[in-house]
Amino acid sequence: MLRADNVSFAHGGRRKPGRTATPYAAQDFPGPAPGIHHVSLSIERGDLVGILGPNGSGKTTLLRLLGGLLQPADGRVTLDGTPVGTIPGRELARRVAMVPQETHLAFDYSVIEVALMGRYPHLGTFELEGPRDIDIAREALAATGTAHLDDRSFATLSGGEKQRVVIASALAQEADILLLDEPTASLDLGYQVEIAALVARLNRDRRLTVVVATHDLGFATSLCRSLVLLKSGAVLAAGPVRETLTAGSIESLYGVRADVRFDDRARRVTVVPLERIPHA
Amino acid sequence: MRSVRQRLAGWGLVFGLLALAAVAGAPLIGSTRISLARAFDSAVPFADNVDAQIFFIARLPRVIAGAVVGACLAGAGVVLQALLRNPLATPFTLGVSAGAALGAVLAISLKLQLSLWGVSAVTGASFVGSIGAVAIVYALARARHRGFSTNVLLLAGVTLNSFFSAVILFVQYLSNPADTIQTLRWLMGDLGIASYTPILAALPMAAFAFVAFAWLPRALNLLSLDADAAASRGVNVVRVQQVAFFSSSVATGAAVALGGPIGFVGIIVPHLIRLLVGSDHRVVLPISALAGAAFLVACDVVARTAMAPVELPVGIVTAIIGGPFFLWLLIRKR
Repeated sequence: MLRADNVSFAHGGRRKPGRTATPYAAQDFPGPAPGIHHVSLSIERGDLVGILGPNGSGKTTLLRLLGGLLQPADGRVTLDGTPVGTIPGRELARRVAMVPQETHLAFDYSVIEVALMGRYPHLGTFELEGPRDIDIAREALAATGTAHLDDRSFATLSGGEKQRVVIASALAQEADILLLDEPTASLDLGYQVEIAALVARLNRDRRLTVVVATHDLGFATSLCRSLVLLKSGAVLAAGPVRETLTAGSIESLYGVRADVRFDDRARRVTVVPLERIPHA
Repeated sequence: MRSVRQRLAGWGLVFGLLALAAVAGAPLIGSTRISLARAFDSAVPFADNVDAQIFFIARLPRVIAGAVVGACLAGAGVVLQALLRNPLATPFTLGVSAGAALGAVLAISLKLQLSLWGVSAVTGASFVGSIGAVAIVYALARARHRGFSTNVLLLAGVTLNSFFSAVILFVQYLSNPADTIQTLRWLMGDLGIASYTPILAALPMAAFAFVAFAWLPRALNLLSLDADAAASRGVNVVRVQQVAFFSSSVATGAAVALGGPIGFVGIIVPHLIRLLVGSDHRVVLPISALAGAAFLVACDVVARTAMAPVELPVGIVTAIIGGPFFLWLLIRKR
């Protein structure tokens, strides 16, 4: 179980060193960066949780805190009772994998090389990947429908293919918790549906716990079992989709009047945005 | 795709032999023809043996220095390009060479004569200058955050480069013409070394840097994804960035102290090797070091013989080969 207890975090200023130093360009060039204020939530094993919120509400920051990439300034994040900051990097990486929003490689690697990077936490410093690692990477590519691309250069792939290969690389870590940061943000409808189906399949067939940050309501409602609604770095509501996503919460979250219905046959919530409410 | 082991062995053999051939062959080539048999003839005393003197004093130190400098610059280039996630970075991007140049220029202009363990004041001062530049850049990169910012690193390095260049010009303007010519020569990058002591002084730094280089490649591969992705796969990103920064700086400092700021080696060689072997740093880094050694030794042979008996600074040769090569790289890209 992944838990956050009363977690706060503010960008800039003095803070505890995390595992990465350059999360955003925003850290180097001062400006408003989303913080997190007194967030508590718990994610059960096997759950499929969406973190919803407008731009700048702190979704990515929360995901990075959950993944142990940032140290909370206050409060704590625990994985099965152990604070994630105290778990050594490699061990944590064998339990929690993270997929960033977009991946731009600084150098060109082949698809199988990118997938094999997921084996990092399983290998010693000077250890080379063995046949077993290559099998696991190939199997991860197969699970994301990218096995046929293995020899292709990553740079030549389409956006949807890239995202699936990066997910495969995270699967090769063999972690049982997968954190996805806006996996469909730059993808067209076809790829969005494809990624949603992939994530649902990974959750169902591999029993992966999935936490996905998104601002795409359709993606969240069709995919997630429960939601965390984040507004200005604080939790607005959390729980099953049907209880958290209401006309009221959407209005408060996005400033948009929306028609929210539960479709009994499809057993899912549908949201039709109607109009923007002018700021009071 | 062939495994890392196979690629490393195959390309290692090719470039290992190439480097070996360059180091073994280069001392035999030069403006004066020498006989190996006579050079190694122990019956003739060294003081009377011209062939041995040319071989062991005029050429061999130069060749060894070329190999060490070439390997250091190419290796440092690979590491810095990965650290900054920028294929256009060179070992001189972060101000190390500008700091070294300022040190050397001050030593020349102030006519520092002291030498330590046979290392000349100019060599020593250039190394001190490079350390100074590294310290300033590092302090700036850490100042804003508890971690380590590669963006600030890059900006600080580029700024320091131009600032030091301005100070160098200022010192130049005030110094006498003879010093200016000596400085200019130094800035061209030259392997005109006729003794083993500077090499022995630089070797421990080079060795230190390469031990660190051996630890880095897998993490550098992951840094090419991005810092977050690397950290979530278990890489200690800040540690890796620090080790990469310091080891590449030490390698560059040692190389510049030995041969001055010899350009283009640190960028052409890694690019060429990536074209051949792919991007995996476990292959790129060691093969680039071997190729850098072979390349610089070969360039120095050209520098010594192209206009014999005039010996050109090797930096001119690498730049004349490197400039057009780099332009070709730019236009051939997809």
